[in-house]
Amino acid sequence: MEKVSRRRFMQSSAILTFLASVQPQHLFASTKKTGGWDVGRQVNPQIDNMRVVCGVNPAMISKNPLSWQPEDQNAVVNTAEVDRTLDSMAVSLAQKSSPTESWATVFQKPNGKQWGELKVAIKVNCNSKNNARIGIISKVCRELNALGVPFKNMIIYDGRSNAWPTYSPFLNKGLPDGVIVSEGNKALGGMVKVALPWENSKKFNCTKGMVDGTVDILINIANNKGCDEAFGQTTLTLKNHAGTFEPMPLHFGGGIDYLMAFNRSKEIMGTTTPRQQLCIVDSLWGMRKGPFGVPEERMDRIVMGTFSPAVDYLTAKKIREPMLGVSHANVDKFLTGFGYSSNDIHELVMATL
Amino acid sequence: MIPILLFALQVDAKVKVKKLLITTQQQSWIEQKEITKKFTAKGLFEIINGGAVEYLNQGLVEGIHQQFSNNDGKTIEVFVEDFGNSEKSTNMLSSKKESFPDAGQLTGVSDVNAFSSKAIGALIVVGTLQNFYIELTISGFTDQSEMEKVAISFLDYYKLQLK
Repeated sequence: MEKVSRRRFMQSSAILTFLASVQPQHLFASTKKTGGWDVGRQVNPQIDNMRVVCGVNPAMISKNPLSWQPEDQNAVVNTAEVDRTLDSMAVSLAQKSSPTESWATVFQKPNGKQWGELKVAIKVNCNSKNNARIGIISKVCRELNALGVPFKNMIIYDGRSNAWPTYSPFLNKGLPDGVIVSEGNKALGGMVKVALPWENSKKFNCTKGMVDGTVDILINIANNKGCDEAFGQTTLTLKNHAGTFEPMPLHFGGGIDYLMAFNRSKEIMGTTTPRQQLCIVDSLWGMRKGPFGVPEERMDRIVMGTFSPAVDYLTAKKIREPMLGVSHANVDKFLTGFGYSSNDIHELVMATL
Repeated sequence: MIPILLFALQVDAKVKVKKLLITTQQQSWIEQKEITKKFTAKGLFEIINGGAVEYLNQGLVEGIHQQFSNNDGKTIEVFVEDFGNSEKSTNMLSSKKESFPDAGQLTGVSDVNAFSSKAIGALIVVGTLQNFYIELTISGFTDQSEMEKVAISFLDYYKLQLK
């Protein structure tokens, strides 16, 4: 159970009262910047950045897969239970009375645009064989569609590992009719150079749709995987954008500084309206190492929040460390890189079904 | 210990890793040619994008990545990597073994120092042959012993190529 101190409750109430009284653009007018990120900015004015929910439901998996071929790893997932779990998590995340109201709170429409005009990009991690399950992607697509976003405006992509071989077999067979699976990031215009709030003299390749503003909403669906110590030993939602931005500078001098720089960028986080609005870690199975390889443990969990540093930090500390027995260096940098510290973060909110 | 000692006494092969590229069909295994790739040390980052540092620290020179499947949905993914000499390939094996606390020695194949570890939906086999370090991921089987037989058949093939 989540514990809320009186002090924290009073702080939250004061913040919510304040948020209700101002226009969204005022939320971003802060006095301090951390590499392009306005410290204190709320991704969603109705959901605390630090609020992260973990859904636990063993009924989401009928049995372990025979192999990690895309068809096999999805065949053992009970999509109705995934739906039920994600609905419960959305209610817990948004703290509303119904799933419908909760999903409508999670997703934000830019001023001056209609839901039917919006374009949504869904970043998945297709590196190796443990990939975001169709049930989770499909549920997110259907909730956006319920708000009015046409399926044909939703694009699943991985600019680094190519989502096409993994997800195209599910077009109209698990993925809603009309959803697009991109070859690399072609359906989002390919890559263009962009400056990052890091090394001013350098430009880095980024998925064009994030640069020219054609993508209104960015959904980040990662898996529970490890990685090199240099990146906090996790391949979660932050690392997932090595594929929205070019990944190679990570390995040749950039390290966690480059990782944090592209995650703080306006291309990922948006400007007036937040672009990355929802971050999910499909933790049905988990990998101690990675990102290459196959899972060692069944975990029966999904993690969700609006703010990727908090999602990754809590997934590392509250799931990977106790359940997989791994340790993580550098995950504090996920928070400090955005102007927070581990003192600011709440407990993982559990939604057990 | 004995297999490692015997192995260390062998003379390192002076063949290129491309000699271990499988180009002819092995039993019922069909090569997924779109996966096949030769890579240098730097190129490993492009394949695994994280996790490559240990391989480079241990002295990876070059390698090949292949995947095979059969009509029953069974697959075998292969990394064969040249570490320059048997000491380095053995060091890589030892380093990798730390990630698999439940690993057991693979028996049934001579002159190869190898361990296997059961993962969900797969068997992972890691071994060394002279200066080459080999990782096999076999999946789609219900029987572990069947997966071990497949691994041994691939290791035997590589041994044959190095003779």
